[in-house]
Amino acid sequence: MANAGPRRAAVGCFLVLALWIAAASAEEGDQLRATVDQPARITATEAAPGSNGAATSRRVVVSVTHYRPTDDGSPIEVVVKARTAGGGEQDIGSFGITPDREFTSTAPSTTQRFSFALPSEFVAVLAAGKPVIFSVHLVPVRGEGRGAALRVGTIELH
Amino acid sequence: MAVSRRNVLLQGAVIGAGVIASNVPGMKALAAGQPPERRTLQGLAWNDPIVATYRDGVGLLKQKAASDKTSWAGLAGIHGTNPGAYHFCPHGNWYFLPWHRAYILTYERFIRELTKNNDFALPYWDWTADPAMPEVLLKPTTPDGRQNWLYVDDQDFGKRWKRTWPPGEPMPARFVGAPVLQDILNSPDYEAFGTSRPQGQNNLDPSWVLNRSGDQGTLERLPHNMVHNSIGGWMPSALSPRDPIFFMHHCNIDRIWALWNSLGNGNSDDALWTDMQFTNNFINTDGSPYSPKVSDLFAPETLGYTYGLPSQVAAATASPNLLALQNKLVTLRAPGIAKSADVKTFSVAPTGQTFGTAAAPLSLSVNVDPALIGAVARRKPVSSGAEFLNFAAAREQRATGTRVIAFLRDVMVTQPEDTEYRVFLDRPNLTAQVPVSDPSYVGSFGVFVHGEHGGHGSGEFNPSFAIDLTSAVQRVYGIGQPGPHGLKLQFLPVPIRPDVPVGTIRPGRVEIAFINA
Repeated sequence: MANAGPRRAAVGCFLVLALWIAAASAEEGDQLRATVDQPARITATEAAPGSNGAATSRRVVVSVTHYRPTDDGSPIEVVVKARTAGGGEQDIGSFGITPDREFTSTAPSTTQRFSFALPSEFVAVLAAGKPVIFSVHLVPVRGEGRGAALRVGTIELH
Repeated sequence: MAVSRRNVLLQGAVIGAGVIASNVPGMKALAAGQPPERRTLQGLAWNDPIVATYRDGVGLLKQKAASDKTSWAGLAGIHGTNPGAYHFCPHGNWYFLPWHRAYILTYERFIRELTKNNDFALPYWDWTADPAMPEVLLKPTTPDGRQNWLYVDDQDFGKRWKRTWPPGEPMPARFVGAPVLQDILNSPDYEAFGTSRPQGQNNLDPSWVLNRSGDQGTLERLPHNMVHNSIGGWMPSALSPRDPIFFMHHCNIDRIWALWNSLGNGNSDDALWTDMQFTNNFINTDGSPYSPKVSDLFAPETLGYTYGLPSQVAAATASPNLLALQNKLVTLRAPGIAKSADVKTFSVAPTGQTFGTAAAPLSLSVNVDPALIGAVARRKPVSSGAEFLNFAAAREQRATGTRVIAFLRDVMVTQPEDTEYRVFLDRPNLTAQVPVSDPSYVGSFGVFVHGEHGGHGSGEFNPSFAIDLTSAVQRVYGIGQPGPHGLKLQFLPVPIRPDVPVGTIRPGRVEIAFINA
């Protein structure tokens, strides 16, 4: 395709600017586990925010290391939200896990990863070196969602 | 001569039969004519030839011994070995789309072979247009009292497998709605569109195909995964191909890939993707292995089917104007590419903090070159194609002449869940009572809001919309001209139900683009 080159180049400019290893954060502990009653919560900051507040990170990738479906097999939607300190929550996007079977990741190759565009207001907040709080919610599509659980591995800002 | 849809199908059938039956290579098939077209299930009756052939084919596969690798259960074993374990099929990486293209193609070929119907092509379930599960799959018997092989009520692996999604209930728009599709089609490159490469991939070892560490974009993580999981029964499991709806669902995913390509988006040219071979993953109808490389799977027409979209291969030879139009449109949409000389744009941004309301629509006037309005007015009426049985020629005609498109950028709205936003062209005394049948009506759009907190969905900015003004300009201005105020667009919010509050609207910028093809 004649026009693919410039677009590839633009995409290539997306560098990984920050990697927040949630599992390494002892104080957040069980906050990485989500159920229908309790979302997982992760605070992320850019390791090296853009100079002069320039926007840097534009995508967020949520990795999942453990998932358990509902007891009755009814479907679950995973909704990712974000907020700034003191601000209201905003949806970033959602996903499902297929097959809808329990898994625990034992290696990076079996960790499932989901990519989302980051709304511009959060791009600006991160570029200013301030934190964004991400939450991962299990939302029943049908039924009550009992028994469903998920563990977030990492939140990566790209 | 009156031309029925069936006649059109039959003509396509004659062409397609020769292509598939003789098993000629792809380019020869192209030269012979258009292969069978995959069509939407929407509106197809239980006894439509497409549905009947699919039902018969599934029945013949199901009646084979489960131990036969070419049986319904045997072919599903290509996908998964048991409900919790995948076999060959990739998910969560960039092989997801080409692998599933080859997989559903395998079934399409088997059904043609078993039913001796070489003009058959898989139908797709367009869940965006028709989000309820297709009716032809939902009842245990057909109206003539025969077994409906597309119905699912199976006993296996020690449990009963039945779909649990209620018949007639639409899949949620937040999974399959038009804004989701728009988000998917706006993906800037293949790895954002069709899931990225596995983390750390540095060679073509086949083990990478089963590595799930790629970043799933909207297409895989949302409509693909959530439709699988919502249907219930076999569908949320690794043995999902045991449900005939699997192929209607994946055919639609495959169509969206073809659609994204037809909009001018190129696949990855990284050899780690294009050169991966799915060795011995699939089966030909004679039982021999089918082992395509990713690069063998780019063009549906070379594989023996089409979606009727302008593929790069077919368009290059048959539809130069259509191809040229696509390239010009890409220059409008893609960042970092200089605009085509055949594209003229004019823009305006509202001043102040004025919002359009139901009582006071927002008007934005754009000064444009009057000669371009005249060029739009002189554009030939668009043919449906049916009158001369050549849809490719109709598409080519449609792409010819000057058209005008409005790009509404950075559209700010309030109360989006309750509001339809209507666009009119130069309508005096515009009020909420002006019907959409008015000649000045251009179109409507909604703004997707997911969740109780609202927000921007998965977008990075406020949403933008493209609206084709060509027909409205012809109706409103004819061979005349806009007044001294220029081309005037009006934005009118209306409530979607009488009992809900209505929102407001304010585009950040409006661009009017005239494209000459």
